[in-house]
Amino acid sequence: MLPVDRIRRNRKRNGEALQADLPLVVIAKVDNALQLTAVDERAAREGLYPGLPLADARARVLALDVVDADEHADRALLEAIADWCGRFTPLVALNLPHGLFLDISGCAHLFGGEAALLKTLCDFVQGQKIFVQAAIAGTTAAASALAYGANGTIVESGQEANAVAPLPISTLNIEEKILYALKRAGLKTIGDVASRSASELTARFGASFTFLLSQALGQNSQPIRPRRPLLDYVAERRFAEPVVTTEVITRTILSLASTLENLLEERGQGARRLEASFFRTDGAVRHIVLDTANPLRNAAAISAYYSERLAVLADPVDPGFGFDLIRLSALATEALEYRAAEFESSEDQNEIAGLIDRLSSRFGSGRVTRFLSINTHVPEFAAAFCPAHRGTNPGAWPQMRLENEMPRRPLQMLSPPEPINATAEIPESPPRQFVWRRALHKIVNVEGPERIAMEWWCDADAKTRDYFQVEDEDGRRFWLYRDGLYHRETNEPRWFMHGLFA
Amino acid sequence: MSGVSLATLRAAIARIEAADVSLAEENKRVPLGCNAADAALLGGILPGALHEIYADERDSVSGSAFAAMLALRTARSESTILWVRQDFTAHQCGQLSAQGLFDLGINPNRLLLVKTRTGAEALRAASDSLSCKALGAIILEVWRQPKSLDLVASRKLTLRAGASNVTIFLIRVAAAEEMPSTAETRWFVRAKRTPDFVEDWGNPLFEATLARNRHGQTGAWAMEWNCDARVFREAPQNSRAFFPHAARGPHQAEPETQRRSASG
Repeated sequence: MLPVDRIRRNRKRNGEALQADLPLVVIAKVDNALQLTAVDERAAREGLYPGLPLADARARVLALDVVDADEHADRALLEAIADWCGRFTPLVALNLPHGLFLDISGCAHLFGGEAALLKTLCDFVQGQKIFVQAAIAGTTAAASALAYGANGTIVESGQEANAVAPLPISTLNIEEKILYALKRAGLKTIGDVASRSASELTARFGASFTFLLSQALGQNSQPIRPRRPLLDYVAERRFAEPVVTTEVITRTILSLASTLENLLEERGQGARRLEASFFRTDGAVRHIVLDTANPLRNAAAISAYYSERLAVLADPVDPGFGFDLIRLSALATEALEYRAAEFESSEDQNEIAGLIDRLSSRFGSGRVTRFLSINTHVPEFAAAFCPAHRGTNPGAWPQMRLENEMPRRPLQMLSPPEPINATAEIPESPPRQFVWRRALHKIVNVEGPERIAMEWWCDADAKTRDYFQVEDEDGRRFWLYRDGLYHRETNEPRWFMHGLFA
Repeated sequence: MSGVSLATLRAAIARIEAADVSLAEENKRVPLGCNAADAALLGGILPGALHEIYADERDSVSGSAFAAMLALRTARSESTILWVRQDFTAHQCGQLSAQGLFDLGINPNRLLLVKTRTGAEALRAASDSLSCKALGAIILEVWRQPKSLDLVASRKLTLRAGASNVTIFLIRVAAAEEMPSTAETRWFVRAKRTPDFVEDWGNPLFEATLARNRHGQTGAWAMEWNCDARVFREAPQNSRAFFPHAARGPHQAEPETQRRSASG
């Protein structure tokens, strides 16, 4: 039903006319034939079902509203619902294509018991005009079978076998082939199948089927594989009334940060990566991640960084009708020890790290950088800009210039190099004059060539470059190169401007 | 008391006060190494103040280099230098090259680079970072004329620099006109041509004009940066001075004043 609901929601949002009078079917190409993959209630009433070829469906019902399936959009919607479910438990797993597993062990009492939790969840999803079926059981397979076969069931611990026994075998998540074979054998319900001996079933359908069946019967409980890693350091606050104003949000982050500070302090840790999650009342969830240069746990600092970040987001956190849950968690941590300040320099380093954090949280960590030396002789790749908060060792820089010599590399490098029109007396000689950005430069001083071969093992087509340092009549200095060796690599070498010397 | 004597007294007081300030600050001023310029600057560049460097679009690299060299002179050894740049400057004039800085005698590992989208963002980044006393110097490079960079903004920069004693160098690339500001000094920088008789050319040469100096005289000097000693020196004199009839391009013969206005 998820694809159908998604299409309806989209149409409503875009204001497109709802063709309410036509049965809606979603189709996809399966085994070279167009098949129905989902149908709405009207289509189901007309006798259409998923798996039916489109041609057959058209033969049965003349007027059909046919839409192509979009797996990615379905997945995105499912992920959004999963995000929203993060308010009940941190352990949420996808059960593709259209299901979710929530591990609510130890969480249900926070929401008034299992029944109340189930009702809250279903009411909200229904309210979003998405059809939902849910059940609570001791194992994922049992819960999934019950959700499909007996919506709303809550099974007492240990009663799974009785609960699933009357369900049809189609509620189990098994291959079509096995389903067909079981039906042919006359085994219509899970109870029927369970009455056969396990060795018999394993011999016929393989061990994985037996394992699934035992899970559906409430044995061999397996932990779910959550979408997001389980975090050790989480602080959250729920609001009875949704909050909208910036002041409340800032104050909430401060108080969450102080909770987080206590958690981190207990284990002597500091956060290297933080995440704030804002759960909106209408189900949208926004995550904002911050990286820090040093392990951090000071609540005031954390909240100050978040204030800076929130103030400059390109698409600001839109509270809409308000947030009803704000969560702050440490995604990555590192041991943090307070050392007595021995030297002035280490104090300076801490101050610089704080500055890097402040700037990174405002402008994004990709914009606050340090140089990183890379061992290559291709000039444009010899240095990289590395986010400063990572604190990577920048490495050493080669001594290209001897004492009292001119600088060998320009202060400013154009990326990419710009093609210029250069005039040389003979092809191999340095240029006499050149036109760059529409201005003519006459050359009075030349140094070169410095021949730099490209890395043929990376790019076989790259040509050898002959670099010249030149000075024009106004004293401006440039770094030019001729791309390709004359005769050997090219007959019409092109010239490029690569950098500017001071 | 007549008006004339009052004005004379005021002038006298101003002179005495200026002398006091210069005496107190003489010790902490950082010499450039170029004697004539240091004399006009009363000993050198004043730390904990705002200094402006204007450069034409085509001389932007000279402006950047000059500011970096001043920053290197004033910053404590091994301290971090923050360089704030607009994306557009990098797009128009090229990215800063680590090896290029290294060849000028500036350790690239000391640099912390901030790239911003707009001039206003760059100004804010630099202004906020001025409170960080651990920084050796800040270089703020803006393109043309950001709206937020007015007299108030420059006053803020001056006050914050004074409070934290961090020196800030503001590079104005391709600025249309001089803006009123509270800067301690204002320089116009352009590349200088290597004299004909110099054979081993290549050391960075500048024609630096000190157009404004709050505590001293103005002037114009030709300077050379020594990449090994990391100091400025007087540039070797242009051959034109020795051979006035030597053929140079037509604009080389223009009077000094016109050239200065062209570079501003």
